[in-house]
Amino acid sequence: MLAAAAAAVPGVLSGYALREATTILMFMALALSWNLIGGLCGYPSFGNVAFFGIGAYATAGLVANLHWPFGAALAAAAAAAVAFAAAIGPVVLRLHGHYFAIATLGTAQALGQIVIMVPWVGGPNGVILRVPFAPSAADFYYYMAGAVAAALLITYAVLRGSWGYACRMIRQDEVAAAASGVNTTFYKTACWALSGFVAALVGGVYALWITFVNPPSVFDPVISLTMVVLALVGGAGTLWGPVLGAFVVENIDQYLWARLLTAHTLFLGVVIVVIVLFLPRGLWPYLAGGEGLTWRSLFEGARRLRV
Amino acid sequence: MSLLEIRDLEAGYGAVQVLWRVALRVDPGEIVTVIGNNGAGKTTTMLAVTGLVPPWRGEIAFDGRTVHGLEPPDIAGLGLALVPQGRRLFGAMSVEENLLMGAYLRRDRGVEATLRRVYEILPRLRERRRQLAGTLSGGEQQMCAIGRALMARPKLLCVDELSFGLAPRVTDEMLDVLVVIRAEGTSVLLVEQDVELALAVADRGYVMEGGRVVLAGTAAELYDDPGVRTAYLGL
Repeated sequence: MLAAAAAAVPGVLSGYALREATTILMFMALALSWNLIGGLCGYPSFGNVAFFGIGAYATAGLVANLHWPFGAALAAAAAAAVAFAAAIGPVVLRLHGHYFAIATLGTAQALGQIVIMVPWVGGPNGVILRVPFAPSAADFYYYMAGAVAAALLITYAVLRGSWGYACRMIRQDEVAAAASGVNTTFYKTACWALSGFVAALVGGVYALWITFVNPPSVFDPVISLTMVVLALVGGAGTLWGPVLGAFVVENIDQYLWARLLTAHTLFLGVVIVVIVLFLPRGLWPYLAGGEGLTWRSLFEGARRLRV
Repeated sequence: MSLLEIRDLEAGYGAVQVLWRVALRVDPGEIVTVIGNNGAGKTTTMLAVTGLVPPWRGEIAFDGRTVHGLEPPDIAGLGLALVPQGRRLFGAMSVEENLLMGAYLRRDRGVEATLRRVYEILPRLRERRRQLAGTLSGGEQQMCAIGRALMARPKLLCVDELSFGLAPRVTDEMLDVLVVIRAEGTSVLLVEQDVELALAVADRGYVMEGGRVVLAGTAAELYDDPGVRTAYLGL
């Protein structure tokens, strides 16, 4: 039903509104990407924009310079992000908590700097993509919807069965997980690579959609931060939480942006604080009906946080 | 043949060496205890056996195979289960889920039967099976940690600080459990600060001081040792 409704959107919306809808889908997929490592495994990545940037740049470079078809370029870009994740995963995933967060933040920043020094992709000037038959606005909407569907399928596949249990154990106590026989390095790295795969797909589609990539736009740390916020607001570690979080926050954000241009980023900050304080598990558990939302539960959430 | 044989084990953290030429062994069907003060190297020895602290030098053989340098999940797969210090339960899972996680590596059909047996040995866990592990009392958490380790049907159960933070009555109950599982063929390596308790249940023991094994013997020999009596038993 949800899929049918989503499929009908381009017929109803046009122009600006369709663009907004496409943006929301993009952030849904990015939030799901972060959720694979941050939510499922409890590793708070603040550098997932690295994968988004790799996806965008690899797609742009292959399409603009080598005239690859978009689909092939996108597949190669996603493979590059997976390879990058698999290469650095066993190193950065040895770190926990803040150390992991800082390491991922630094990795993404460093990649942005390295790209500036690569003349093949235009150095600091970036790459302009021109394709002979540019997809329509509705096509981009469907591409992003496809990325969301892929991310949901991947998350669903990971959550069910023994892989999901391995992730839950890693998130709750990694030492006990290893002692119980979980190959923690493998599962962490695999989730990290899948997270990279999804973000790179989104980055590649984004590059063709915007038709221009440069380091400040596709290695922007705010994109990393947004992924974290959307997943936390919706409910990290759940299947639908990141989708819900992206839908709610991006809608409110766009509403405010149109009316309070100067103050709308303030809103994002307030949302983070309120959610982290009062709904540490995000919105999804309440919407899913598992728990009633009462004043008492809100303050329970705030109280538990201090323990 | 010994189930666990450690020879000349040296290990540490970063540049700091903690263990010096540690040697000990556990035979099948034995409860062996490692006693000593805080910082003596007891826990590090156990963590090196389970692979959680990489050994620097020496040999660790388990069930006839060298486990030196293997990762913790591989060592667990050989039949070695750990009840870690601080319990380390999966706090957001129920008691029963925690127990089933202990059987993570098992692919046989006997998991249900082991679960029933764990509930028989530790009946409190059955009462609490739907409760989140993070909300259990200290004693119940220790029971759950032991139960989780037993779910792997290990050949050797490594227990780090069984009595820590527990009421004496609860500790006695836990020690009885160790005796029961020994009778069922599982050996136990018990690291314990409460020397009197440890020697009451163990077959043999090792005394560690400053990262070295300074004394070894049967539980009765250690109990009668003048040094042990003054230093650890306060007699």
